[in-house]
Amino acid sequence: MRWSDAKAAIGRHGVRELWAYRELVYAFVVRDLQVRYRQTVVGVAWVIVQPLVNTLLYSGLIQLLQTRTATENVSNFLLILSGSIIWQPFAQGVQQTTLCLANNRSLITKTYFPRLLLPLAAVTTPLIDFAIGWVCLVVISIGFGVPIHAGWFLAPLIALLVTTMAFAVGVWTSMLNALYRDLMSLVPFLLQIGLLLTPVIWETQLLIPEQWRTVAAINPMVTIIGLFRTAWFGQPLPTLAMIVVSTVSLVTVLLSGLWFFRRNEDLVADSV
Amino acid sequence: MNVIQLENVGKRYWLRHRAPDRQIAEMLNDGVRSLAGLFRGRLPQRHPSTREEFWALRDVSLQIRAGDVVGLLGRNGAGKSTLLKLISWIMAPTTGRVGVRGRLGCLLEVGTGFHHELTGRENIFLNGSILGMSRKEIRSKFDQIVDFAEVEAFLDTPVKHYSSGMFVRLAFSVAALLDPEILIVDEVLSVGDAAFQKKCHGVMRDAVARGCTCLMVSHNLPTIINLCQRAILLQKGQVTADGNPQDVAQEYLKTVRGSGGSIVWEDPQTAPGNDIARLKSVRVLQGKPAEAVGDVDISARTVIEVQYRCLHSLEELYCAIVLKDQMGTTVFMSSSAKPVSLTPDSWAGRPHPIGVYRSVCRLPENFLNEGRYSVTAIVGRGISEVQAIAEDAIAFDVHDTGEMRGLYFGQWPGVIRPKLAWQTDRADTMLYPDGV
Repeated sequence: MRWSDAKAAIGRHGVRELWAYRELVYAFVVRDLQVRYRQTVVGVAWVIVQPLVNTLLYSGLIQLLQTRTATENVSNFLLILSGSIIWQPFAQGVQQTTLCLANNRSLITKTYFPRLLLPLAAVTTPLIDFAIGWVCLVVISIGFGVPIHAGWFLAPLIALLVTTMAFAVGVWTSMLNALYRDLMSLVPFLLQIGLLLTPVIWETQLLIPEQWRTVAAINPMVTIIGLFRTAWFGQPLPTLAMIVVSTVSLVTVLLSGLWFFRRNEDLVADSV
Repeated sequence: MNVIQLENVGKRYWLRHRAPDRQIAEMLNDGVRSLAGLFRGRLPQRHPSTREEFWALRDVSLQIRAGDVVGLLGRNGAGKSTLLKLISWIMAPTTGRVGVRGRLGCLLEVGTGFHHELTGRENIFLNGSILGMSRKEIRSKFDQIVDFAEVEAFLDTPVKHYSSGMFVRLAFSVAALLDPEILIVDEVLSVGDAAFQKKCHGVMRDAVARGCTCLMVSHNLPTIINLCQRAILLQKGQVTADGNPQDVAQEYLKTVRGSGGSIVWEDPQTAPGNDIARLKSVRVLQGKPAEAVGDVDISARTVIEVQYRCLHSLEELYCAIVLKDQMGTTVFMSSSAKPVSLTPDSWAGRPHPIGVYRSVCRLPENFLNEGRYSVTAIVGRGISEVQAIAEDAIAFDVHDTGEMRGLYFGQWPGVIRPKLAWQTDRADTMLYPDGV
């Protein structure tokens, strides 16, 4: 017999139970993908339209400012696009995860499953964005005459990092949003600020003085995008200190988020 | 062997009271204050200092053995749904502990997790996963599900275009073919048309025959009496009766009496009416001694009583009622006026001296069907001058004790359900020698 009470309650059965419910994660992901572009004309193309338009806008702006890139032979357009296709899935992931508990309220109050499945599923769908973005970047890079590079195929690793990052943030925001719907309004706003604080439309080498880069790496996205550009354009690797700081920061957010989620998981059916 | 066990289980909720009619300015003010609090490092309470605790369940201990079919009875708010949610692990109890053994199939709502943009086919897979089936299992039962739901032609249509009947059928079918070891059902059998309901009950019976443990909530007493071996009555969060369904159902009917089914206007100034006549009370009475009831036994005699005050000397008053069913359809209108009443009413249309009067309209037994009815009370003068009217003044529920049903326990069609005389003969006998 499996018992639940006020303290040692439901959903405390760890990784084993999550694994037992893996098919449900899959079902949620399939649902989200199936629903996402129903009744749209352009359909899946929206995935690339958004970062492309953003990139065009920002690169136009930067062209006007007449800045040059840190790396020779790499245009502003490509640099910004490489940042965008990383940032877009991250922002998507965080945004969807924030809403995942609140949007599935009827499921949470009517059926049992480990609640962590919902944020897990929500961060998974933006991987499609990443994959499509990657293909576009490959095509456009070749078009710009960038030599094909073995590093391009390290993309799955980068995708894993971005997803983990989105998940770490999303576990926090999803539970907070279940308790206080303020997050729904706050998160898009914070993501806007995050976009400017992260080297998406600018380059770490150009804007951040060397001694401050380690501090900037508290934002793991700085290092993740740095790694991606290293792999793509052969820019210098982020320093070891940066990688360590980012890893510590990412793990801290992730573990504290999981702790916070667990602590409130049993009550979420009452308060969501 | 017990498959469900509850030990001193309690569940507490916090009720938040909010001042009524909050102005936008106040709400803004509150918002600004909470923001200020945030900056000072305090997590704001959403509505400070106005919360009250409420125990939806208190000290409930239960054991359910494998293979038991148990019905759960109780008024709205008695804690039935909370109990099911605790057993199905959706919520954690505040006190005590809940134990469950075996695979749980939980039907708290038809169509949980259905997505309106997805097609029927896609929803079958999604819903099956939510209910705990593996994809392999769903695939193997897919045809059975589609067959059962009778939606084959619409499999690739988004369910938002389904009629509500189709939607419910599909949703139930997925759940019905789940094969759980413990089935928890909350009020879902009251959906769909009679034919489909019969199918649903068939599925329930099969599940029971397989040895599946069932726990079901229903307001439909015949369902409980016919399907269950045991019933549990919940009242204000506590178990007050547990045992033979027939007895518990009687207990249930008894306990719900005396609440509802009556309205009294204490203050003659504010009662419906005018300077000539005002209503005093409207009640549904049943039993011996007569008692105002909100729940009416279908097989017992029922009267509707209207009391009114005549405020102006020698007015020629009469009384009327309009009975409507839960859809708002008028079942009948009747009045005490001479040509309308079955038996002559001694005061109808006669000049009334000032005072309080009581009109009583008798309804035959076995006349109304199950369901909720409302009564509109009218005091009139002359041919059709309405002096006092109370629209839908009271409502009452008619309950079936199962006598007329035998083994049929779907919904009985019809607005009324009179008991009529039937006679079958060989067709070659003489035809109506005395007329019909």
